[in-house]
Amino acid sequence: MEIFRFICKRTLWSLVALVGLSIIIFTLSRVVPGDPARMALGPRATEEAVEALRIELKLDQPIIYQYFHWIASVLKGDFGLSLMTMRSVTDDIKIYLPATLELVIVAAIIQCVFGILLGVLATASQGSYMDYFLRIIAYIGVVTPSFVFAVLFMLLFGYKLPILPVLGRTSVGLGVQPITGMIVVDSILRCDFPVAVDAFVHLLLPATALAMNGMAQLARITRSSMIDNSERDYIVMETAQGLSKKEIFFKYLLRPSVIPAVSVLALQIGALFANAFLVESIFNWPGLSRYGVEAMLFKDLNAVSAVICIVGFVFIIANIFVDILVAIIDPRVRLKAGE
Amino acid sequence: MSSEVLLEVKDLNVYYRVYEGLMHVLDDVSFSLVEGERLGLVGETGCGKTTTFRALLRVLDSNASSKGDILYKGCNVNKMSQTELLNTRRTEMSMIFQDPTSSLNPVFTVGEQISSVIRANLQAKGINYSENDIKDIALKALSDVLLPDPERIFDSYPFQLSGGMRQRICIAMSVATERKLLLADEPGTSLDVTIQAQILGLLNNLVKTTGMSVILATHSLGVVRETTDRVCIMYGGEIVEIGPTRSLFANPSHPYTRALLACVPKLTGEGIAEGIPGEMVSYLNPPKGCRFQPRCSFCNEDCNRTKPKLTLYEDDHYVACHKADL
Ligand SMILES: Nc1ncnc2c1ncn2[C@@H]1O[C@H](COP(=O)(O)OP(=O)(O)OP(=O)(O)O)[C@@H](O)[C@H]1O
Ligand SMILES: [Mg+2]
Repeated sequence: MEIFRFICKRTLWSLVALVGLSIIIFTLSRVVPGDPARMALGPRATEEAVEALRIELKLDQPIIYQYFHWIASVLKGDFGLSLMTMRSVTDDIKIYLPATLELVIVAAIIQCVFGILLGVLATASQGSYMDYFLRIIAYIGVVTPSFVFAVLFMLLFGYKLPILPVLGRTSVGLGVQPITGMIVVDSILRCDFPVAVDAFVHLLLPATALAMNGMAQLARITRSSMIDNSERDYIVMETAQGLSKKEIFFKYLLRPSVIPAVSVLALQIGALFANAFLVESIFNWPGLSRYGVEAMLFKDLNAVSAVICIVGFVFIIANIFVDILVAIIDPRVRLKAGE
Repeated sequence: MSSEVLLEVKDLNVYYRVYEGLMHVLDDVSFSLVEGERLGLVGETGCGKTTTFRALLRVLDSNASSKGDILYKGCNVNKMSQTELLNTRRTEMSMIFQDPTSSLNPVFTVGEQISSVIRANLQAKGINYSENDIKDIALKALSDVLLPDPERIFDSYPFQLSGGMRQRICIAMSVATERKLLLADEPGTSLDVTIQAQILGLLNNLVKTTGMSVILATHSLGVVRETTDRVCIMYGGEIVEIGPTRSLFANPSHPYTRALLACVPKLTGEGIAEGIPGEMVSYLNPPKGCRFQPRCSFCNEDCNRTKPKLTLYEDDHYVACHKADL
């Protein structure tokens, strides 16, 4: 089927993008000033010890060699040693990535579903108080940084009206033997439903805080594209042919109008990872964004490259996913790419 | 031909609210149509043909307002309830849109779109149907408009088809189920001459076999001359002359109609057509008197001050001009 050809083509292009990304990450990580070996060992270490570590880290070799050496081990799943935690970076990532992934996925779902829903609602009630109200909310949502929402939600739902947990991934004492590392998924897989519910409830506030910007943006895009499209010839024609308002609105108007919103989602996933840092810090969420920023401050090259690599990889996967979604909705994308 | 009046339009006015002010496009448009009649609507671009059609179906843009009576079978379209309106659109009137490239929904197959139209029609008539019946009707309509390989076209998306094919799909959509009145807005513009002739033949056939009435908006005087019973000449949102096709072509009496006819390059080869000097009226502040007066070489004080009314010129042939008996 044409959708398969589309997916294959799209995936191949992503591989090219990944190679490009790896080169950029590697170059950036090697041109930052400062000696990583010295940083790791501290100012009091002897010159010999620093030199030994430099050799161990292959920092004395030519840069091209360093790149291929790095790529080869990355492909084996080995990002080297973290100078910050003195553990294997891969082990660190196994702990932190699932937490962030869980957060970002839930946030993406919330912003996509509710963003489009609010946009549709605003269009359906165009010109009424509901519409104005939703539009004001959307303005506020777009211009307010997500950490403000995080603090606000925390105060509101954690302290003023304590109905939702505000710290960590689960309540104290609850947990599950990891499979994927995503607690909600793991506890469902292990049929431990109380833990699943507990972990999900813990996700709600940070994920919603993270989703607010994108949700507001999607609501605005959906509303404006629906209103734009509603004066198109084909909608007028469908009205003139006597199709019901409901059929026109929910079928013939909605589908072409969500395309721009879904396309924007691909870009927003990058912003989700970026904003996750502050949200994770506020909600004490042991995630990758926080780990990445700490590693950067520590000049922990291996960890930083690993984090960027992983985030880049996830971003590319998410983009493929969004593109497939767009291709399913929009036959023009699906069929033209297959030619 | 029966002579039951099907449609009577009385003093139809349409305004568009735009940034610069209020555009008064249709100005006291009045005409009527009997069952089985074919009426041509002719005028240069921007004269309000599409606006007239959209007003008849109450599908004007949101910045438009429409005043006046549109009596369809005695019911005023402008005062109909939503259900009556829906029924009228589903079973009585239908419109072929002018621009085939933008009149089909880009993300649905042709089949889905035409089926929706047929389904709505059958529902309104209270006929029981299966999805197969609908597909059969759709395929028949597609082959009626001379589309090759209707099965393939049924499953295609609009962007996979040529402009001419899309135009014929728009036509098929409007004639797939029987209607009493067809509003055809330039149904031949993106078709080549042979196909255009065949499509017009098809419409003619429908008129003969089903007793359907047609209003045909077009720039082409040749088409009008061959396929209509009466012609309505429009200038700047007003009807300036209306009458039986034969009498109007034989005896054009409004200066605009004459100029229009003079524009058609003569087959005898008297060189290039002259065109009509001057610009189209400004709808934002139209002249108080005759709208054609600024471009008219016969005008006098009267034309400047008062608007000429449609008056009987000869048998069933009306003209709106102070100097018509020139
Ligand atoms: N939504 C709108 N807002 C403002 N002005 C409009 C709108 N729709 C149409 N008009 C104006 O109304 C006038 C009549 O337009 P209309 O489309 O009815 O012309 P037409 O006779 O169909 O022309 P054509 O032969 O080019 O199709 C034009 O001057 C046009 O600019
Ligand atoms: Mg038009």
